[in-house]
Amino acid sequence: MTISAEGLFLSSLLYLLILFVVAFAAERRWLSPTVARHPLTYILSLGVYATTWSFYGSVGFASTDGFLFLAVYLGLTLAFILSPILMSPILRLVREYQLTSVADLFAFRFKSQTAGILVTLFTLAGTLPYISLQIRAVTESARLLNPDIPSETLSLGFCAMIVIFSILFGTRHISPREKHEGLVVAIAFESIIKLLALLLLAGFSIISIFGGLDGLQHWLNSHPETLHRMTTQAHEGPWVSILILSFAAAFLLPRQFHMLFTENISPRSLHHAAWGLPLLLLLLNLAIPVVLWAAIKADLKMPADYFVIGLAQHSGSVLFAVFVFLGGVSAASAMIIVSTLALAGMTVNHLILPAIGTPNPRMSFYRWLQWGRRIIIAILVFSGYAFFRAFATHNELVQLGLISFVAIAQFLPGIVGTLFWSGANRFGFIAGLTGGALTWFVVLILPLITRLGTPDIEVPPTLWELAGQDKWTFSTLASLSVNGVLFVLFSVVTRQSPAEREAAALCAQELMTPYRTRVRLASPQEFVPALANALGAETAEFEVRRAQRDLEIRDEETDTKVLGRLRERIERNLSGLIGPHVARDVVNIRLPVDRDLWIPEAERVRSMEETLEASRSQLKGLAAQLDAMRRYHRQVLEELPVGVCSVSPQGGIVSWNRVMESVSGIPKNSALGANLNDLTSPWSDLIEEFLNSSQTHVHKKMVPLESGTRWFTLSKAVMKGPDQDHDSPSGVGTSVLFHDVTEVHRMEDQLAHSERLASIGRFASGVAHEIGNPVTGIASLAQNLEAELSDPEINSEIQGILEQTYRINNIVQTLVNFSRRGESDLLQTHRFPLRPCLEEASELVRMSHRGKSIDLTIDSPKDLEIEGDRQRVSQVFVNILSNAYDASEPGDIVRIMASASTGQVEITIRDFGHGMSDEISERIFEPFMTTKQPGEGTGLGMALTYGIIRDHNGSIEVESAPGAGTEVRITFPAPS
Amino acid sequence: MERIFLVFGLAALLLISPIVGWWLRPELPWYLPYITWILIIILIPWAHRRIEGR
Repeated sequence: MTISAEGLFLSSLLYLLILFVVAFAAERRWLSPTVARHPLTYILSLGVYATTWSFYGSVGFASTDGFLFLAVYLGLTLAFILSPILMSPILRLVREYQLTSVADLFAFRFKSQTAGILVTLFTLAGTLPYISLQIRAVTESARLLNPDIPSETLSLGFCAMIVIFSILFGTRHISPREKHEGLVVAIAFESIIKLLALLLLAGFSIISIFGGLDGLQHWLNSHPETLHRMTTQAHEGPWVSILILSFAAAFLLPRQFHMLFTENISPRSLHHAAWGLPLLLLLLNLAIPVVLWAAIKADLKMPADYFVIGLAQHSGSVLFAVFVFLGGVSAASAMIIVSTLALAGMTVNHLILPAIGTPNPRMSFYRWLQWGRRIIIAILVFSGYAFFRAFATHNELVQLGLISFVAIAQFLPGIVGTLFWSGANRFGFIAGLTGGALTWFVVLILPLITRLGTPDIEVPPTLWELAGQDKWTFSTLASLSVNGVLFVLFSVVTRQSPAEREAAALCAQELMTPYRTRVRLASPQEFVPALANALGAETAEFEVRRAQRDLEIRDEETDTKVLGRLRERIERNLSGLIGPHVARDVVNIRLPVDRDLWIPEAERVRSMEETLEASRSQLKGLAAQLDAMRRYHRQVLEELPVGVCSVSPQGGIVSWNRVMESVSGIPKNSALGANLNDLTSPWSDLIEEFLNSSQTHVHKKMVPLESGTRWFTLSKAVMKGPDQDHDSPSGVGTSVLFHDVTEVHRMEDQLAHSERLASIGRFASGVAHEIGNPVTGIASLAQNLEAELSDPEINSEIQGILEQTYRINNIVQTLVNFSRRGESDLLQTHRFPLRPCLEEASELVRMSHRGKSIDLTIDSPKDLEIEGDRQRVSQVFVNILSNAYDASEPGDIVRIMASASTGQVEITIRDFGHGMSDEISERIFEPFMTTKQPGEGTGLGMALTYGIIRDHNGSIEVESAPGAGTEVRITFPAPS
Repeated sequence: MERIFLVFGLAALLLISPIVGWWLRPELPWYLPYITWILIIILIPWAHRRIEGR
């Protein structure tokens, strides 16, 4: 069956047109964005792993090496089992530092432009044969369908279409932050086509060639040598080497790296791909042995590499044959498109930019980059074509594919060093890669060149023949051994640069965030002209604005610390455009850091802590133990019963513990990172004043707060850096301790008050004794005189004397009571019901204030009891109620409320009289303190009340305001 | 992480060790390599489950 050249051309054109439409629809969002972001699309796009080598070559591979072809996919499955260990960290680095290729990754890790150049050159060398393999597969499969098609025209036409597609859909965005959704969907679509083509072919083989599954089994039973060959050849072949090669290829091939990491839209999709991609490849490969056996049964006379197209041709259906051919086209085009896109980025970033530098600032930098990549894509595709014309006709598809795989496997030691060995350095990497690449060249490429043009030439035995091994085992083990040994050896004997040490720690997750710097520029606006010299004004403006938007930094920002973060962000964003090394050079030269303004240790600690908190689950081993220890110490600091805050030398708040939060009312989140001046009053002045003072300890500092005045004892300690002398006055920060001594202060006040009362009591006792006796004498004499004299005028004066002596006696008696108040042995305590006591006291007061009609209410449970000296407790109520009556106007209300709560009985006496000012309230319990007119009160009532309540282990509080009345709260311990 | 190493070890045992010779025998069904493969694939989501949760 022959298909016309026009038909083949038109169907290919139609297919590529459909591909364009699919990509365009995704790019223009005619297709829902969820399609591009769906994990299934991501899995299918990763199907780019299956090229024409899988589509056509696997059957040829199976015919010569049996089930060995499966190792190419089983190695990938092994790699994806380890994806959380191998791929997730790479994805994190790629996303965080805007890396776009494996060359970017190594240039970032080893801080070496040479590393980037070497990786790019070697990837180009390793991938070009692979691209040529695709062109050859499409050309030869088309020629099988129509031998008259001029192969040159066909392959050139195919290459041109690929270049156009790549330019249109692969280079729309320059920044890796903007994903090529159209490209991703198109590559996923191509995976569906190649999968369908192979499964339909397998279905056709089973139904039409074997007459069903039973027929297949019957044929296998009748041809046992076929299955025997399939299994034994796999045993004898380089099974383990191919597993190793495909393990590395799974994520290090340029196309795999590009689709897995650079075009990854959602990191979570990687988890789905871990099982989804192996499953997709299993389905693809399920068809391979069936197609092989069907081709053998059908006795196809052609190389086994093309049994797939031969069998489709054998079906007699033009449509089916064309569809299978398009399956091959999809496998080839997907590989070439994605590989050249990845290689174009690497070439521009690591070969062209370092060689010629950034373009003239008057030219649009983005346009320059875009067209640079487009031209490189065209050059790469046509270089693959040239390679195909020069070399590829002499090798089986599998040979070329495996040559590429061995080349890419040379990145394995570097990847291990990047992710797991922070001691690895650029000298080791460069030496290892050079050694591995030379071995690859000598073992695999040199024999190829030797046979170039003279396939029948007698060549000396190859190295693997001399070693008695197969080609792939020898080349894999030899190149990787040389690479690994040199990598370790040079890493051990040479030293890392400080920048490399930092990048190594970032890659191995030993350091969560880069050391931050302060920039020498004063505002974001100054960044633009500085960068414009290298990138042009338009690009500089756009990049600075983009970084500002990312970090939400205002134009007016002047904090050098924040500007340092802006600089870091610009470097990352530029890294996605021009590679990490050139981006670093541009930023270092144009946005210089101020070495005198390194971010202080204390503030870096806080930043590290934040990152550690976010990455806790990723820590392991010693790092996890150290983190546990850090958390323990942090917890101790947090739970300390004193307020702790640490301040950096620049005034930044670095720590703010729980007690600080509670006493200041400033949440930790607001305080941390803020400057001292940003704190609310009085904290900012208080801390600043204390930090600036020479004192290291301040006792009982009064702090007026909204909730009331509090007293704190302040202490401070300067924290020394690890390399600072203990006696050095400066440090990395200062810790300030706030010990809340308000309660102690109040207790001390009460103690002083009690002392004062006791001393007044002793004085009163003496005065009562010394005055009482003469007064009694005066009263007796006056009574005698009254009895002896009958002059009414004199008697009236004698009555006056007697009244005054009674009054003095009253005062003396009160003084005696006051002085005896502290003698607790005189207390006659017993349980008694509270309500009758309150009623009696109320009655007494009511009687003594007969002229005043006060509405007095008692709200007390009848069964409420207290324990104490009833008479003295009654005295307390009388004193307080008397004051309430005195303060009230006729008709006012006085309320008595009593209730029992946990372990105590609370009695509240509330009046609505004229109240007292704060000044009077504070002194109300002092002896001789009275607001009454002379002669109306001694000023000892409340002092006596206070004393009685204290003697009963109770407490009394007074709350009063002028015009608003007074509330007295008394508590007694509940009876036991 | 333990699950990942367990599944990787199991897969390596099946694919790299002499056990390969057990499931790659001519007298066994031709599709046995695929069954072995799919068993490994089934174990991958189980191995990654806790990691995904993070």
